[in-house]
Amino acid sequence: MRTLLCKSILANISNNSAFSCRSLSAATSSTSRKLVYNRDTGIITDDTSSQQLYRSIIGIEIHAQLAVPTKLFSSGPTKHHPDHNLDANTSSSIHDLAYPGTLPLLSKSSVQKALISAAALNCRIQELSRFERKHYTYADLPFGYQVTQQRWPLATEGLITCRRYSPPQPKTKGNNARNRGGQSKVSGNSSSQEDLVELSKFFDVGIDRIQMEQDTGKTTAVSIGGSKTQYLIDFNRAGSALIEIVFKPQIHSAHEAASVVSTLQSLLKYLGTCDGKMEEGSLRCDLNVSIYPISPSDFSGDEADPNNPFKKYLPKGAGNRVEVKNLNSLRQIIQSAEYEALRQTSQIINGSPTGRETRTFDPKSGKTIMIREKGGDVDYRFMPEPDLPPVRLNRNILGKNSVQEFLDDNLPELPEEAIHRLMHVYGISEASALIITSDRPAISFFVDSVALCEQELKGDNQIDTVTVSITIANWLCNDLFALIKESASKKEEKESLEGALNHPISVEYSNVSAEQLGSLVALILNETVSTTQAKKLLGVMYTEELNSLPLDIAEQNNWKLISNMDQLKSLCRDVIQHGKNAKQLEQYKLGGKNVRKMTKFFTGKIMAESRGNAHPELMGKALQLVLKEIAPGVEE
Amino acid sequence: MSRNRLTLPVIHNLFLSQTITPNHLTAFCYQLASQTNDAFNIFSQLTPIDRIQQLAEESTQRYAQKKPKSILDGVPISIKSNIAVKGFSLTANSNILQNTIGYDCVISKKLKQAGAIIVGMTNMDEFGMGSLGTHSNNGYTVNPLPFLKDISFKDYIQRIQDGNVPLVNIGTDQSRNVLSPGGSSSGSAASVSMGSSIISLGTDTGGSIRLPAAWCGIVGMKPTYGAISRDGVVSYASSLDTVGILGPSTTCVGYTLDILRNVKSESTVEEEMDCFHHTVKDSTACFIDSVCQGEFKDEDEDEYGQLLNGMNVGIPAAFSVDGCSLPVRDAWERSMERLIQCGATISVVSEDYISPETVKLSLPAYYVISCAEAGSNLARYDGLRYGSFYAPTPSPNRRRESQFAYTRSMGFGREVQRRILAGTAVLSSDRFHTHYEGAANIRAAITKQFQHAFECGGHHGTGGIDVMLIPTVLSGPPIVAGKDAQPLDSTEAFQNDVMTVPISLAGLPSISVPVNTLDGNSKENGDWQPIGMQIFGPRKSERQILRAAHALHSMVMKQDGSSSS
Repeated sequence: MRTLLCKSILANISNNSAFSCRSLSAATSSTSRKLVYNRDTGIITDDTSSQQLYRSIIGIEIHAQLAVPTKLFSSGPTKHHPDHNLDANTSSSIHDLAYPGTLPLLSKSSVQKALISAAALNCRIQELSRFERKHYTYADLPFGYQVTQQRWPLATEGLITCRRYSPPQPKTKGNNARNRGGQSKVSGNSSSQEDLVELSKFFDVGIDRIQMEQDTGKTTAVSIGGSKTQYLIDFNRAGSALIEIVFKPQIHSAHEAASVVSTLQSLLKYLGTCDGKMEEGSLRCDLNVSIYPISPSDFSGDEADPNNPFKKYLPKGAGNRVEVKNLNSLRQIIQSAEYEALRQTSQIINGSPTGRETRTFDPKSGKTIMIREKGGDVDYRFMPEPDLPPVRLNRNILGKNSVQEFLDDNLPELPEEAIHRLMHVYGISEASALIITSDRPAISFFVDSVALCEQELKGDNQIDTVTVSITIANWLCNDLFALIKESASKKEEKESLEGALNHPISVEYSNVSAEQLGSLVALILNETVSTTQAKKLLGVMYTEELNSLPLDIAEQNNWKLISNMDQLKSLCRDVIQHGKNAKQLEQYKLGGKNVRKMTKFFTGKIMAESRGNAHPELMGKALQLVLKEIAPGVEE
Repeated sequence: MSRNRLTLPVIHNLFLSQTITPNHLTAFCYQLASQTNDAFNIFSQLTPIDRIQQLAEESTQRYAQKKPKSILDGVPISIKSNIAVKGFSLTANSNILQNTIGYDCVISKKLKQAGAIIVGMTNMDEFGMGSLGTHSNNGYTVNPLPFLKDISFKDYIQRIQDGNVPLVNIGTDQSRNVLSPGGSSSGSAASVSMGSSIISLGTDTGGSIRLPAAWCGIVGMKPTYGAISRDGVVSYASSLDTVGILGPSTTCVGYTLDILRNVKSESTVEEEMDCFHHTVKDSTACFIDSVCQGEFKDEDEDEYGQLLNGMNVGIPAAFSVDGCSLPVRDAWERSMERLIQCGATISVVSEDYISPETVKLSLPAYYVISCAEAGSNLARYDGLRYGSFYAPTPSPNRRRESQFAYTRSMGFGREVQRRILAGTAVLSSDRFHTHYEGAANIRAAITKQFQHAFECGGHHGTGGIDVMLIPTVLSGPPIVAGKDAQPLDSTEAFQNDVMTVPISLAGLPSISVPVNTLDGNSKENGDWQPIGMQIFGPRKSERQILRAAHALHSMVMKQDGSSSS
């Protein structure tokens, strides 16, 4: 059994070691052992002996900035405010700077968005929660404390169902845009059927708590020559509303950790409660990584980390947890989880197991670096926040009589439900459903397009809903999204932020409406226009004639398919009998191989003559008829 | 300076009849304030003279047109230095907050809308931490009470009309004994006592209005916690800080309370939380009813009903403590008699309702909670964003943390540092449960006991208690400077708050009334001491306690007035 498992993993490693595994040599004075980490299973293997040694176990804390226009406790603008200013230290109210005499006033929309997020994560909602002050001194913390919800959080005991992360696949030839994204296949190295560590497409992770809290300002270190560093502080972010989501340590590998974060990221974006931009710090992630021995015989008997509040979730023999702070991309999450798993293993092998530590990740070296050891834990001196009464989820805050009533009105269909609906009611592929649901407005856009398209095709019994849906999904996911993306990245004026978009990539910003797309697809399906023509039409609708119907544009530009047999025949005759083509006609008449060759030649010429508007199949038929008419009796 | 203090209804009538104008009164008060400031150290900032003249002139014009904005229109007032007012630095009399720009907070806006004229910002114990008025970066405030003279009402008005401010010579003798005005609203109480402002706004965390009011011989009220917005108040202990009013009479306090109290806004829709509204801006706000119902009465008399028929006044036995001086005990008994004369029933609230043990523990509980909150609230002062920044001279490029530490050790006074350290200690994880939570339990217990006593603590058959009567402070003001000055231990000074803090912990409204004004005979008597009595009631019982306090104060004034003139 054991050897089988090892073999299969080894096989995977050799197949895919380039991107899914990383090895580290644990060098001791006498021996040197090469360790290999499997990013999907989280198992650390001795490369030489193929022995499975340890497995990683990971907990995650995520700080998500709520997408609300003002701060959690003041009317100061956030980056979601229409008037916000990107210049440092311009977007704070005096309360955000902890100016004396100002008091916190809880933002209702923050509570509402936190509540929607918590409900979507299947949490138990606490109708009464409280704020507390967590004290520590740092230059970017204006009050000397952070207002948070340590002992009475807004929500507890949630659950997230994660879609297993698959790293971006290298592009292969012919893998055009039509297939991009949304692969449900898990990464190559673990798809072997022999795997005993079974990796299903979905897995669940428990959520311990969700609490509301204040963000801090932002400190940037700037080198000012020599070894001197200057710290610049921007308070624009200070006081922004965050939710902290604490996951139970039920995550086993680097890829699972990334799956949790990416699932959460898309969910919050979908709900509109957080923009999910990790690169801008809207979503920040701390990992708690520890390892446990795979074989119980490796368990020394000493329980590490006795004060860990999550002890009960950890497998026997788990080592001290190491916290890696402020990771802001999926890549960093994967790299740091892997680095830690290997580092902790090699430390144990070398006889010096790691202690409780807080570390940071250095993207340049791909390594984690120690910030502090947790021998002397920081004493945060928690105290009930005396300036704020307890948060009661009542009519005052929710505008509804009960939490349930509020959620009935405000919690949308969740992404996985929507994916299921799109796949099973409309019959589109999972890949398309994933793309559509990743942009929530696209769901109703799709549904509306399908409805309109079907209406326009009424009476055409040849075309069923599934065909309509698949065609619309393809056009929406590929061509329309490509146009939206293009217009989003086209910068009209010089933007101060690198990589800033004119607008988010969402159908909300599409110049083509659901109705326009629906009627365009109807034209394709009833063969009024060709795919090539439809692409041109879409381009024109998107950039030039924003309010025109596709049919009008097609007629104006003569981008309609010629399907009339008489018209096609006359077109064929004109080309075949044209003096320029006399030679070719003579060649055709020779018969044999020439028939096919010359038919192909004439097809090209006729298509060119029609400017590509001739219906290909009908034109083929017409050509056959005309040729038979002009040169009867020619045989292949 | 006169013992006869002008009250709001009297001033209002004088203004309406044009006997004196806001110009007269403002000039008089301002001159008094500025001339005495070197000696008494009452104001830490005065309004620029051209500004105050302009305000007085505008008010005079309004009265000429018989269109005053409110009963406070044209009335010189002063404000404690820990309340934000545009045009003044917001200092809380701390070095760490020098040149911190003030702004118009909710209550300063209300005062300006009412037409009140701000004379200046009053001296206080730094951040409100102190009971004696000695812990100010500006030096101690002198209690003006011994220097007040008898001037007849007629002479007083004449002086105001003539702009004839009496010269005060308190002598240059350094050995001269200086009485504490009480703290921390020391300048506020002293100013009202002297007459350089008619009304003053203060804050009361554990007795900071009531104690100086008692020692300066004036009325001081701490309303229910949250009844006046804390917006703009430099936080000391958030769960206790209460804005209150100091004035010459209960009527003055009542009228001012009606202007400052949080009012549920009619314009806010049902779903809006009122505390978010721009007239409140305080999440811990509560809303109380009008105490005067907005009427301007012609006479000071009978404002709240001279007769207290049907009112049940409780005397909590648990507050009869050993430290109570004889004169205070006598004054307490005389006050009971006076209330009976007004028609009230007196009942002793037994120790079954309010336990002496809980009362005794209230003082340490108060200091644990207030220090914990103070340590937290003052953590923000690091010199980085505003306020003073002290750069360590030898190596200015030290780490941020040591720069913060240096600024804080230079910027905070000794008492403030003591309390921050105490607060940090009681919140540390090894002490939180024993100290902070212990204190919170005592707070819950005293609150519950008060509530229970008000509900059913009266004699059998009389049921509940409407208000309770206890001394404001157990002894008279100590000598803080001069030949007989005694060095006062900081912890000993806490004893001054023993009668006031239980009420603060419970968030109840309380008013201190002077009960033995200085009469002609006792003036020469060195034993004379100002004594204040507290009348307090259940939450939001402002109207009730003002009614009782008014009756008591009127009796004192009547009996005292007959003996002196």
